[in-house]
Amino acid sequence: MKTVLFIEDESILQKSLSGMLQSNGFAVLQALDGEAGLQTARAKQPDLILLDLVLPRKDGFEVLADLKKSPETKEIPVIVLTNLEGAEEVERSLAGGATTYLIKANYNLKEVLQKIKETLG
Amino acid sequence: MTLSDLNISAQCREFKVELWACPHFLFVVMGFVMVSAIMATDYVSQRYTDQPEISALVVLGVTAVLFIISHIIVQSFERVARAARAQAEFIAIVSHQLRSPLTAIQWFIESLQADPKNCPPPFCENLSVIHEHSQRMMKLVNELLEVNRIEEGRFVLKATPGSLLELTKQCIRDWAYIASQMQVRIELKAPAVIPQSLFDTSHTRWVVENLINNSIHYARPDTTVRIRLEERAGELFWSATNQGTGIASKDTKRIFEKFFRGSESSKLQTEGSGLGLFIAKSIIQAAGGKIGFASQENQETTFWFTLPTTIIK
Repeated sequence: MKTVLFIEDESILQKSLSGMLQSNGFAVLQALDGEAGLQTARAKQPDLILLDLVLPRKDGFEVLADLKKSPETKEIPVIVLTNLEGAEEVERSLAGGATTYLIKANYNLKEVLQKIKETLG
Repeated sequence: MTLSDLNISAQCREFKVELWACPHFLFVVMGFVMVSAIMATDYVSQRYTDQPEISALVVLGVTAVLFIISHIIVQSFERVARAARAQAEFIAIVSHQLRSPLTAIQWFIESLQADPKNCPPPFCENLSVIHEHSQRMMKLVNELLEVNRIEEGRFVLKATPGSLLELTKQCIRDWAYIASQMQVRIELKAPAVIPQSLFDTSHTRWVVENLINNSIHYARPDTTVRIRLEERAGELFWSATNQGTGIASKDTKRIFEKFFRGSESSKLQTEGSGLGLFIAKSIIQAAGGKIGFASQENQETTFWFTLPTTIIK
């Protein structure tokens, strides 16, 4: 069973996507802020991380940089899942090591699930 | 007054308006007009009177009047420019803030719909209605953001290799259900193969979907929307023709204007925002293509666009 860590401060989004992932056979870890997400990633080493950019305590860019710096988490694919859509944010995330950049408002749950499956191969 | 106030081009960039409508540029232009008018008044008054006091008084009077007029004009332009800037910022902020809760509503409904145990039929049908309305609201918010990007010059197209024929076929498949609900058929006339070319897939899809959507919604029941795609010298030509009420001749000049809705369209489809064709035009023009339409009232209407193409061999 593949494990997905979802770092997102909006609890409704957490609940919706986590439920969808669980019913599709994934184990889901949840973190409501950047710092907690980073600690969970280091402790549990998930197969994939879904990362929002606007987060309390530590923003998504900092979390991404720390994940890619650390030998134990740098190989974990990260999908940035945000509603920020500026070219600067997209470039910064991809240059920082994110595998994919998805704008939440442009995807429904099934499409996000499909992207997760594609990323995990 | 600081040094930066003297940087006219920077001030004009801040307002994001054309140079001729920029208050700071107008202020300089009015300055030149005033100096020229003062010199002309001085020349004329000296010709008609030999008393320097009267000449000076005339020049002074004309200068004062010109100064007041120019001040009023520049102030008015500044107020308009500031209002337009504030409106653009307001739309951007509100739209961004609306997208997060709308995403939450849509995802939550989708998660409930995904599990039949949580979603008995009557409840699930009601949820679908809420979902559909939130999608409409999201579409409007996205359109407002797109208009904002266009007007602020932050609108960038990314061309990648793709097939306009395949994209059109996908869109037709996506709209087939709506068309059948409206009792309209969709027919595609295109060569079997059109070479791959370079264009911005997501924005072009947006244009194609919008034109197909309009053609279906404004068609009479039991008619056919005919979509045509062909390759012409160095460009792709795409069109959609329907049989319906057409566009009233008084509306033709304004059809691509922002927020404009034709008199007939408001009656037939109440939910439109009047932004679709404005955005479509901006996208096609940014891609170096052309867009237009031909309509005969109560007969048929064709919307078309062209895209210059770099064919991928």
